[in-house]
Amino acid sequence: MSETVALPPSTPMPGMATVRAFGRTVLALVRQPAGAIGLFGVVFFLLLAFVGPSFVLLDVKTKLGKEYQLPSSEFLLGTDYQGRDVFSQIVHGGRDIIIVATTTALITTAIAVSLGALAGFLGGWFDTVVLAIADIILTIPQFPLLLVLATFVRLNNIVLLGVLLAALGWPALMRAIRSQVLSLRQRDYIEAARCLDLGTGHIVFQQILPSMTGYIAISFTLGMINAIFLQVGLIFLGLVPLSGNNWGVMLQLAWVRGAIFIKGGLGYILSPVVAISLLQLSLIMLARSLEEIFNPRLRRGN
Amino acid sequence: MNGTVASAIGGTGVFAPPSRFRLPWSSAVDARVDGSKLPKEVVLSVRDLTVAYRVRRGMVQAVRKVSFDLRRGETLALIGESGSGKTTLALALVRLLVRAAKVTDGTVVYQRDGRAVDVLRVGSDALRHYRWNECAMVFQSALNALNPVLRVREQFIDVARAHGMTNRATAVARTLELLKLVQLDAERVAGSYPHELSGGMRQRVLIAMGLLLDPQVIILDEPTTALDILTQRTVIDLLRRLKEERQFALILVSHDLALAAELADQVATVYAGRIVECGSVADIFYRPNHPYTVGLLNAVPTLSGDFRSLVSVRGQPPDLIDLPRGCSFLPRCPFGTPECEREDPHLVSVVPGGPSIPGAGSHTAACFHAPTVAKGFSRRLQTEQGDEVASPDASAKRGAR
Amino acid sequence: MTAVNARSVDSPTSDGSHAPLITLENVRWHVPTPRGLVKAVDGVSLSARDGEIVCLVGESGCGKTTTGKIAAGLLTPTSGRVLYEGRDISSLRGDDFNRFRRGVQLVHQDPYASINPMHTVGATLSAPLRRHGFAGSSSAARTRAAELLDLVDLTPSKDFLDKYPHQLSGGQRQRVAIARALTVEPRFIVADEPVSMVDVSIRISLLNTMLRLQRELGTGFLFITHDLALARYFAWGGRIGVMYVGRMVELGLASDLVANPQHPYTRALLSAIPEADPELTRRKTRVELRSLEIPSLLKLPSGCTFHPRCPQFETGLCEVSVPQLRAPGSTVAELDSSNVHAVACHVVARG
Repeated sequence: MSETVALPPSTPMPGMATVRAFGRTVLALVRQPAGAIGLFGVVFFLLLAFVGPSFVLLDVKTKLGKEYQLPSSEFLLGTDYQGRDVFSQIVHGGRDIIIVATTTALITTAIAVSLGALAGFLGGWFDTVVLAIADIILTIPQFPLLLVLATFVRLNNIVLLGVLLAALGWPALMRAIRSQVLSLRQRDYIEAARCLDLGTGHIVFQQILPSMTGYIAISFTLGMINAIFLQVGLIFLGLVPLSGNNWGVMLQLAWVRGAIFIKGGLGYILSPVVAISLLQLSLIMLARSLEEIFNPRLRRGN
Repeated sequence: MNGTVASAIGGTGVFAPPSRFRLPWSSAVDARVDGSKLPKEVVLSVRDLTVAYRVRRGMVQAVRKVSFDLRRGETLALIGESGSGKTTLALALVRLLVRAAKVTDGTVVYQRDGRAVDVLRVGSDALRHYRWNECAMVFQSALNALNPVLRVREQFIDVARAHGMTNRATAVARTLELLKLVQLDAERVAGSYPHELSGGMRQRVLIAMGLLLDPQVIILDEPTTALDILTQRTVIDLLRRLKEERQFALILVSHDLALAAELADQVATVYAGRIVECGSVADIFYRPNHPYTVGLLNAVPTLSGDFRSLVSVRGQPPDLIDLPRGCSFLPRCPFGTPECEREDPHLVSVVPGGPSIPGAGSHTAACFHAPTVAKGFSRRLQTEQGDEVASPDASAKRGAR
Repeated sequence: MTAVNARSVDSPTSDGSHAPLITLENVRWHVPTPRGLVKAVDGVSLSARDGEIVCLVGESGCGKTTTGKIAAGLLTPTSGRVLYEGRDISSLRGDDFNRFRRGVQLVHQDPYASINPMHTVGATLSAPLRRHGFAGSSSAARTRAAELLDLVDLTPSKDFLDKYPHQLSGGQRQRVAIARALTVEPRFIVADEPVSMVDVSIRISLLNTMLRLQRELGTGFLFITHDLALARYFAWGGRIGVMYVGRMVELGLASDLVANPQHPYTRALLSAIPEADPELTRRKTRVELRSLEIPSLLKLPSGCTFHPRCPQFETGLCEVSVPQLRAPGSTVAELDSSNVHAVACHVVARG
């Protein structure tokens, strides 16, 4: 009250704190072997898919006589049925997959977190309605529904595909978030916030959700994993128009062209499979390590 | 940490001795301690006990050069705020420290029937027997300390069997006898699961378990903290009666001055891992010589007498990793002088020529200004200080860290 | 609305016509559980004038915390009413409700649980300041937050603004919790065992801070504690209510109640509390209870709930009807007894 000099506004602080918290998480990740491998793998695939294409030209030229070649120094991963370089296709084929996966995971998490948090905190009719919708979606088998949908909707837009996958993917995560919020809302500091009448928005998004960051990060990663499976599955079954170039399309083409029956097609058919598996494995390891970092009950020792 | 320690060492919160007739340590070990120097009635003699443990931030100096003597039938209260190291001190006496903690110096000598042994220097087998023979520790958290899936009777029998009392019937009989001794409905309680008992009943069960193998020293860590007032009273009265009947020595670890006033013969104030003052209960409550003791006494509200304005000890409890230079109480002390910063005062007798080791018949304080402190203290006329507050400079120092 | 006022509060006191700020009128909190109806609070009436200190004392399970939450409007009583400035809070809407909501604040027992660990002290204090328009900009909120920290003796305040709760001691956190309650300039603070988890050596300074707030800002307190000595210290100028399993058994001026307890339960409590004075405490005469069992809230004893333990129990009287809280000699049950020493005991009432 005495000489309270105009203090600098507090805005930079939360940012700093977030950066520091992020740094701490990354450090903790790298300390565990699984976390380090997972993080490395994810970063590797991101670089491959988004930076790689600037350095590796997509090979579109049909080269007669060079079809179905095994990996060699000229073609690192062999060639496809038209003699095109598989390696360049792998480099260019990750982008769409990752974009769809990220879009799906983002939308899923956003829907699940906001609905779950509000349902858990507000309760009442809102909770009942949201739960009912979630239960209906949960009871419909996802993959067959997608198959049916794919026959009606032309899924030539990768973002649209992401939205569709997300529309079906949020209920499970929503239920989990809701139950977390149900337990968090019992905390004294939430009661204090209610007593101060800080408003539902503030309580849910400033008080409750920040303490669930870890959980949300894990859910995001798991959402990506699920989205990759679904999307590759759909492409593989030919239900998504084969435009562009991605690992799913590669796999589908390799399959319908019968690469599996040709000795030289080994590199062609295995490359997308291995790429998808490695990306998934990295994500799984990352999710598992994140879980260990954020969930004290799983933490070993101190 | 108090509660977790109990569970960390596995279920039962009471460490009681086996057959009281086996003396498994060798005379070679015995030789380390010159028993003849100890007066016969001393059952526990601690010298220069020092415990430190490593955490990420550095070394925690939990116990620093603690010495005291405890006589048969005597009750010593260790009083201090949380984090003062009093619980670590108690754990070190039975060598139940967490793994990270190390006793870096000192001796802890138990004496019985003319035989003395330093428990810090015996091997693990001998230690186990010795520890359980001489000293039972009852932990703070009465709920965590009992195994939730076993009936009380079985837990008593387990402890008895583990220490040589193999006859089940004898063990059961002894269990019932002890439960009666602590004023419980013995048959019913023996057949109950811990969750069926109230907090006060569980605390009494633990005290009974502590008595199971008749140790001569019992350590109670915050025995009444979690209990309601009326239950607390029962436990206090029980302890008083038991120690009169059984003549065991009792070490009370507590932050509660009133509990010490009720039960203790000797009181030691513990601050920053050291005993800073020790004397008879009357010395400590009516003639304190250390500013911290005075501070604690001035901060306790009473039920009787006129209203008097109370003052807290200013500032914050010390950081055991980064202790202040010189006297560790200096940052909170109203009597501080430059001398206090130069040197950490030793514990010395407040009476010229008196014994400087805490124990019956001595009153010691670790303060250069003890006479001034003593002169300034007057229990009934404590009104000169005005109001409060959390010292600005002390919190500033903490803030800077 | 005003009729209620007249009926519930007859305070021909020295304070004259001062109407109570907050009144609990025969509130109950009965919770159905699978094992039966739990009567956590069973008909408690209490009122506090502006700036008054009232202490609720009782052992665990006596319903004092629930009563506090009802007073703070965080629990709606299953029956009975809470009046703020003479108006039933369940009927308040809009601005009126907001005035109540801001007017009565709560300080929790556990400062480790009551402050969001993810927010800095500055953010914790700024949120309510911004929300309720006590600060127009974030820098104004920061300035005000610093002032509030000064007010609760967390100095120098600017050192604390950017700290996270885990960097603070229990006592410092509790001061932050008090500062947070003060952000909305309440007239009444319900403090639920605010010092029980704070180190002994700094308890008193926390209480002194709250007493100073009461003096300087005129904030009233409902101070909930299990420690009668603390209650006596804190409420020296106010009143103490003693609760036993969901009911108020005695209510009176702090100094009077402790020096001259009437209810057998209060007497037993006072005789049982150890004091930090060896001669005094060892000389104390004890009130012996007939039983140590605390009754289960699921199966309360009939009549006076204390009768199975009471040393003054009289057959045919105590277990038959529930004694009303009233001044000895008076036949009128007091809903609120501003300056009266009221006791809920048949034997005492008979004189």
